[in-house]
Amino acid sequence: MCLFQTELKTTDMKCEELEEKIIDYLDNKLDKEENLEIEKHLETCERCLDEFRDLQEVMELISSKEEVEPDDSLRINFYHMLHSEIKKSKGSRTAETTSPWFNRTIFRIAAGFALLICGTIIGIMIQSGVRNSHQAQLEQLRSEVTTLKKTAMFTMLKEESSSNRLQALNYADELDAPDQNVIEVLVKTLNTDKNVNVRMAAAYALAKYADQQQVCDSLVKSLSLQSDPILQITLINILVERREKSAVKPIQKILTDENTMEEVKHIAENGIKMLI
Amino acid sequence: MQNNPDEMIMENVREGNLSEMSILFERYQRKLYNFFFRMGINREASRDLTQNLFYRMIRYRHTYKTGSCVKSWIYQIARNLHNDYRSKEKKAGDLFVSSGIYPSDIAQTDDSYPEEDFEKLETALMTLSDAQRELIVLSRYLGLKYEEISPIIKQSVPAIKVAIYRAIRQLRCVYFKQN
Repeated sequence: MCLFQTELKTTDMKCEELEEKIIDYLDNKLDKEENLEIEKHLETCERCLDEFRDLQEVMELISSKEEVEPDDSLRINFYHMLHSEIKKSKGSRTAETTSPWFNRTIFRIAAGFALLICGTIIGIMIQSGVRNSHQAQLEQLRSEVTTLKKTAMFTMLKEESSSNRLQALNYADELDAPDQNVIEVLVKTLNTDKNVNVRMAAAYALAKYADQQQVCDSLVKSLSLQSDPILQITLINILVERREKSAVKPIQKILTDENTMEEVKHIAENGIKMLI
Repeated sequence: MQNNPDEMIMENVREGNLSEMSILFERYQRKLYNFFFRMGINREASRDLTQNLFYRMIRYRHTYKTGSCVKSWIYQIARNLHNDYRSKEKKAGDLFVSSGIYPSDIAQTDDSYPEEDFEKLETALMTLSDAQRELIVLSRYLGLKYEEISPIIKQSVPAIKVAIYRAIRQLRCVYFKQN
């Protein structure tokens, strides 16, 4: 207990009162008057002064500890997870309401495709002798399905509803080897679609074919076209993951742009470090 | 969009604009990683827990109530994940993991303090209860205000103040006893 407590006048602060306020005092959260009161008490009470000095040292030590930095895998994993959740969620609940009319047309299109596939199978069966052309049948079927998926993709990408456009990009994901047309449509979607989710899905669909120089170039080029932070982050992640050196320039441009969001700058900076 | 408050972003996410979750991710991932790490969980597990937290936010986005504070919600999930992790650890009887910060993890400290001081502080922190440590981490390391901590741990501001004072006092005792 404070030795001088009994000698102090009643208006003076007591040791228990100091206990209540000492942390706020150290955090500089008190007003002038309260600060003075505490300083006055510390001048007269040695025990409190001792404790005050110790607490000050411990608190300074705590706050001098810097934040630790998570490694890049956290961000990369998060964006992969987010991408697959977006894919799973499409159609079920979206911000835009789809009118019954749209749903009906989609069903009609789907039913049409189903009929076509059945027709094709029957056609192939009748056409070819059952025995010799098993392989050919499969080949033909496969190419039919691919054509259907492509047609569906092109049609659905033009739709008003963003969930339908997302579905279209799912078809793109399922194609084994996309041709020139598909790539072009995907690039166009990535650069011009008005919905961020759709643009992001297009970026990931293209990322699968980034081994092709042309695709990789268009991803790099898109980087300087995107002003949305989400797309900037997505593209930087994809390109850094692929160690794509030609991305350094556009990333640097994003870094020096004063309109760039702080977090994106941080990611851009890390990205450049990994690339050079 | 990047300057929108957390609450507006979370509402958009709930309504199906999942990509906006990336804004919340960029705002909070570092703090959350540090929360787990300062609670004494190793780097790798801290990363997995942070990842898991955002997964839960997406999965349970429909449970977010309009107008409620996103920051508190996020830290409530973080606490739950931390508790789950600890109880799993207890079940597994994995003493090695529970020994807290590994020597190789102690890095990135201010040069003005000698390394031994931080080690002593770390030892002192380990003597605190989980609840006390949590308060120190939230208020001192992550810089949350008492008013922000209050809904997270469901205690009043004055009660938090007293608890923090006691925790820091205990730290002081253990810390200076080691001298």
